Amino acid sequence: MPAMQRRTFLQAAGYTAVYGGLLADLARSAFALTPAQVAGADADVHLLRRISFGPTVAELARLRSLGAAAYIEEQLAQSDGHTETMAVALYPRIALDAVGLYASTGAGFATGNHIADLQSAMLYRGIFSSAQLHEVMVDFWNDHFNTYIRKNPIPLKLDFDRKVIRPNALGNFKTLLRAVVNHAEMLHYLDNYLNAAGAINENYARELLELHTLGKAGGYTEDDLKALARILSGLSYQRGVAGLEPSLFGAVVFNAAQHDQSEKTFLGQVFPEGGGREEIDRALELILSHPSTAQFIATKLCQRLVSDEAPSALVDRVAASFTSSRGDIKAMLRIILSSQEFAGSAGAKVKRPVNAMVSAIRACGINQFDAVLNTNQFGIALAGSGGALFQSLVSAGQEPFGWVPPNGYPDTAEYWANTNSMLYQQKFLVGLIEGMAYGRVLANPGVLLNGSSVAAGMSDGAQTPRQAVSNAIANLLFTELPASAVESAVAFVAQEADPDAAMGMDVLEPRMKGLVFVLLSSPWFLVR
Amino acid sequence: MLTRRMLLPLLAAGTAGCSQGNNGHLASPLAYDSSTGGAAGSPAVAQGAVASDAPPATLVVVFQRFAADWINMLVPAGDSAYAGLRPTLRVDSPLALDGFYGLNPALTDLEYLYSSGDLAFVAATGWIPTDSRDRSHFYAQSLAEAGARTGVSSGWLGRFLNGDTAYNADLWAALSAESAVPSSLQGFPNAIAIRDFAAYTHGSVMGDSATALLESLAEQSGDPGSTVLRLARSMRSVALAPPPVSSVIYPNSNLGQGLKVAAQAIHGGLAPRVITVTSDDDWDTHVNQANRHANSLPKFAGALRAFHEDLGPLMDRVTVVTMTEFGRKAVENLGGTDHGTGSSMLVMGRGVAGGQVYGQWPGLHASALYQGEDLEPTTDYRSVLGELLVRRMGVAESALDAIFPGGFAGSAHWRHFCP
Repeated sequence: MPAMQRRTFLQAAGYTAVYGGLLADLARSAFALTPAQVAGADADVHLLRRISFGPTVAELARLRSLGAAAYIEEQLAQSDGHTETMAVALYPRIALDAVGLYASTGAGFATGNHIADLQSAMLYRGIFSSAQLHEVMVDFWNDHFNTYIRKNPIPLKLDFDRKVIRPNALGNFKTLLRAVVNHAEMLHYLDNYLNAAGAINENYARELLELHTLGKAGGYTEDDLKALARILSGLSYQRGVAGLEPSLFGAVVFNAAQHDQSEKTFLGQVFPEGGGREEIDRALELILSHPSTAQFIATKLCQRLVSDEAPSALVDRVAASFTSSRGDIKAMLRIILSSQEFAGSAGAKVKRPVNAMVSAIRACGINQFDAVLNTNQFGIALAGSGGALFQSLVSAGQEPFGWVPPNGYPDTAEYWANTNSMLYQQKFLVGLIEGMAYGRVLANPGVLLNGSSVAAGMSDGAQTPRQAVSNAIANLLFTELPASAVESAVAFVAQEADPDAAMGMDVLEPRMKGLVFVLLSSPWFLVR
Repeated sequence: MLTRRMLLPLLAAGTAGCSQGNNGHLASPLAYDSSTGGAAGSPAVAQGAVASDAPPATLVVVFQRFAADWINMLVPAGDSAYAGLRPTLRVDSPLALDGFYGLNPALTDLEYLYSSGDLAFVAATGWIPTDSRDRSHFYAQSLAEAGARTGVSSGWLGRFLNGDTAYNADLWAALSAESAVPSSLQGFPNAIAIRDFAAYTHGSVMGDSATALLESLAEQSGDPGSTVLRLARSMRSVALAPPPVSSVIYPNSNLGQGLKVAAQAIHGGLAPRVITVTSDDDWDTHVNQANRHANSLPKFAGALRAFHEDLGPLMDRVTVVTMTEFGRKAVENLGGTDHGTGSSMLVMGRGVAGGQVYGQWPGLHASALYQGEDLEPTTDYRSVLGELLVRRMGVAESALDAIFPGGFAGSAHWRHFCP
């Protein structure tokens, strides 16, 4: 390897003197790879990057043995009872209904544990569940129908996630939308519980059209929006007011006396004077059968699963499927995942912080420790709200259910490829790999799973820096690095030593941990 | 021969152990026009710029996300229609600013700054072209940050910074003191998002050699490698010369933390041209506005006052401007306010002729309201930004149309709050 590059890692600070900077700029312009080249040509790895929280050796093997079509069908039907049982056992408040949430929070005085339970359960499922596509779609719909978990003094988000989002995430969009409209969480979050004749509140009507169904360019007018606000007036829920029978808390109610009964015109249809709750059902039907809704939902699915700029021809096919299947989510996913546009989109997305950190945990094989050791220690430690994963996500800007405005967390590289988010991803990785909590495990090849661990280079019997680097790249990245990048990595580990001679474990291990951190922070791991 | 200017990209690439004269920081010692604070040599800079070692001017842009109700902040107390539109929310005893306007009493810290002469308001701002007015948060935010409804594919700050190629090479030209880079900086590839200088290190025991390896790998890949590279380089810069920690207490809010980081960057000599900060102080007050304002307004004003105190004499080259995507409806919905149109802006700095409310109040009587319900904008927000770019940041007026296409930013539209 070139002498100067060797010096780089011996005297990291020095290499950036004038010459280093010049060379770096030249190298970048001449040899920079495209995201597709970084992502690599392996279609199976590409599929797993998109329909899971990150490839693992085991899932990749399963996918390769079944073939993509059968694997997708398996995932569309998959449930993971064991992980669900564990999640409820570890985070029991996620099983509470609205009345239970009201009572167990002391009518909203103590909600911290409740909120933490749902946040932890979300991470736990992402790390451990075998129903990965389901969890990916739960995440998608929780963004699409975003509510901020701390807005309602009673954290009805837990009930919303359990009863509205999770059962419908791979079901039917029309059922899902009606369930959202008829749940107290959304009625509270977008203020419709206070929307009443004489004090019309437009908040929910606006976002229902713009964010949930037709989309901003969906062809409705400001007058349509005002009419929908009046149609929705009176739709509220039983709240924790004095004298309320607690067993009624959270029930959605329609207060006819607060419904604006004047005549309305919505999407070209006249709603005659004197109407009541049936107006809401009628309005939702108009919205759901509107071609803009099919187009908008198709666009958002393609943005999540294919590329930040959704390919328009694919969007049209997915929208046609929405219409012909009357909103069947699985039918739309099949079209997307089997499309040429999807196949050609490797590397077109960047991992969001949750995805980046959870996929690192999965790639390191840490999600398999509990199963192998028959313990819960890693799941609890990793997903807990006091833990490094959770705290890092807060700082990186993606606290689970912590996005305040109704559009949900952004899903574009434009937003997430920023230094702050990446900084906290890196800090998390350093803690994960070098930190005390896992140091014992990672330093102990005996408990590592062959082929899946960060220190696989050691457990596989690798004794030279070059072997160790080669194993780590193969096991963590599921793709290849350019030869020059491999040389840089080897130089980092070998430093002054011969890269092809055996190296003592006491020297090799800290350097390999550093290398693992760098690999998991590199573009080869961050592309989706 | 190498000039200091040519060295910038190289210095920005990281210079551990490499002293560079000036003050030890990696910030670009850009040539400086002492009359405007602009960088010399740029096509967008006025003629006659004088080279000097003084640091360049900084523009701090605070975005009040999700539409602040300025009608109840900068209260039009002298407007006879105000009280009737706000039966439950009206501010009965505002802090008098002049014979017409008053401040919400929760904004006493702004009154202090106004009285000190470093703060001014521009009332009734928004879009003059009606086809750009929109009541969707998301569309209106992206429009406000784009700076034009059509004909642009980047943000207004991105176009400002791209007007001078030196900024592209300057590691710290654009700082987002928030958790991500806002779309106003879209098009400028090198913005740094940072929320806490003290935490700005990956912390690996392998130290700088891990950073150097990351740089080496990132240089060989395209995006997202460019962000990895930028992070590594800025991390080294901070490690070499950590910005000083201030003793000024800021409110516990994202705005307070952001302005604290902004002040650190300026004190530390990083010399950013642009700093963006988010104010997410609970502005979307569809319901329960009075209680929410009682909580949020002191934090908002307190953060601005803390920043002003923190910078002290440096406020002569720093200008703060606030904006929000639209105002809220003139008429309340009985307890809250829905999405409206016109709002107001605040400008702060020693280069501002403060202690005045600029602009033209259109009135709140029914016939004056936009579409019968909203405050009518009488000053295009781009004219406020345009005046700042020219008068404080050294942009030539002839360059404004490239930043704000459409002709509403030029001096014909200015309110002349910068003498």
